[in-house]
Amino acid sequence: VATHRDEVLAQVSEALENELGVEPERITGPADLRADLELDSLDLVELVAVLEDRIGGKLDGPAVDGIRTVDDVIDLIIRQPS
Amino acid sequence: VSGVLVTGMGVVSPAGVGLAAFHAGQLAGHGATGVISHYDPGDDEVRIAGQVDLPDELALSRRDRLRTDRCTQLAAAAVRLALQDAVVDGVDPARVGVVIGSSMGGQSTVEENYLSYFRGGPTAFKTRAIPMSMINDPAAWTSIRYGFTGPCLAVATACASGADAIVAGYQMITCGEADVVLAGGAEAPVVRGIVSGFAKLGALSRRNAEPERASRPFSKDRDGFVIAEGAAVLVLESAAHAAARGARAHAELRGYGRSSDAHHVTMPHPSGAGAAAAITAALRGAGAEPGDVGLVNAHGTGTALNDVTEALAIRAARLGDVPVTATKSLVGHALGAAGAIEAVATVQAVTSGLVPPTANLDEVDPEIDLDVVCGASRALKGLALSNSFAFGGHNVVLAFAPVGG
Repeated sequence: VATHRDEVLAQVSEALENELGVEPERITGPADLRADLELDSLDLVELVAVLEDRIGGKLDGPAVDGIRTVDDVIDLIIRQPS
Repeated sequence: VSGVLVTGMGVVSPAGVGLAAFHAGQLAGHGATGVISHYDPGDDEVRIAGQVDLPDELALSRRDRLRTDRCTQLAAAAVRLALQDAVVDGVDPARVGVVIGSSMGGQSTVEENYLSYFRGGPTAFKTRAIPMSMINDPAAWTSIRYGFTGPCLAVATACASGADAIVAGYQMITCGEADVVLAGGAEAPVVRGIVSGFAKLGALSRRNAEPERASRPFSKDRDGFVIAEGAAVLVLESAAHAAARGARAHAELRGYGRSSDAHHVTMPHPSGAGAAAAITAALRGAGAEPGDVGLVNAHGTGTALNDVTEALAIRAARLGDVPVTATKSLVGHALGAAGAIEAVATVQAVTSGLVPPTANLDEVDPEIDLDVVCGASRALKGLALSNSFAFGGHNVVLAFAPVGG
């Protein structure tokens, strides 16, 4: 049974794959956005913008600056007040 | 050992990708323009263009394609081919410059982002919209990708950008600022807004029913140019540096000439005086007489005004009896890439000793008193000039000579 976390992972994976061109096999929860997925600062700005667009709300500013891994991104979305 | 040599070339054009295909395309002499497929032109007045079929092995990775406009993607392919051709491994990267001209840079990025912006408001621009669309992105991308840390810039003089970029590279080498310069142009203007804008100027052919026969420089029934995309890059190198590393050269960039019409933003001066001054200056720069010239690769756009005034200019520069050919008859007009694509064609004419025919020339305009090569290629001896004349009145003429010739 797909959990909410799985659904959010799918959402983040879709954004990484389709908007930023990250190969799907590299996308895992612990993957480091910069070191493993080779995203730069512009990619991270775009990732946050795309996800905000998908969920229809702003992601929390200070927390956005702290994201390091794919799991961090998922946590950030799950923690958002809906 | 002095002078500036062409030690590598890369070309990505509707009439061929890579030197061999492009040369074969020129000698075959068939127009390579076609029906627009980059977008649906619907019932637009102009539905034809020159488009590049970029092979997978020259395409950037999917991630890099998402980070670049097609303008930079075409430039990247031309750079890669030029570097493969020149084999410049082991060159000090601080002594390598990059100059890639473009008329308007990443226009599909501009169009897509403004469409999003008008629908979704100011936050709808993509994060990379600005760097992807800037005119210097092809040059910057090249410097970053290959780690070349010498001077890196773009030149924007509309349809003379590619030729002006080659002049800038020549100057970097002759003033001692660089040993090797990647110089050329890139353009990706097959975007609905841009094509429509050129159509509104009355500059484009409406020969939609005969796409491959629509680009008709010097022809009596020409009706405008066919817009095209493409890129070309020359590896320019000081003769001393090339000799020291034992590099083979295609040709020598013997000199150049430039002038400005100071007349009108889109129309050439009706006397052709500005263009003639640039041609004459190129001869002077190359230390040549009119009798030394075996080919003029014309700007030859296929617009009513350009071709007549260019003919006057060529005659005024005392080159009225020299064989003339127009690469745009095959490729269409790739704007800021045109001068670079035609520089490649001119160098290929010098190295092969063959002037390729001008395509689609069934009947030369009686107002044009030139020896336009058509039907079949012709033998070439001596110096070859490549003309580029641009919106804004920028006139640039490059002079190429056989190595040691």
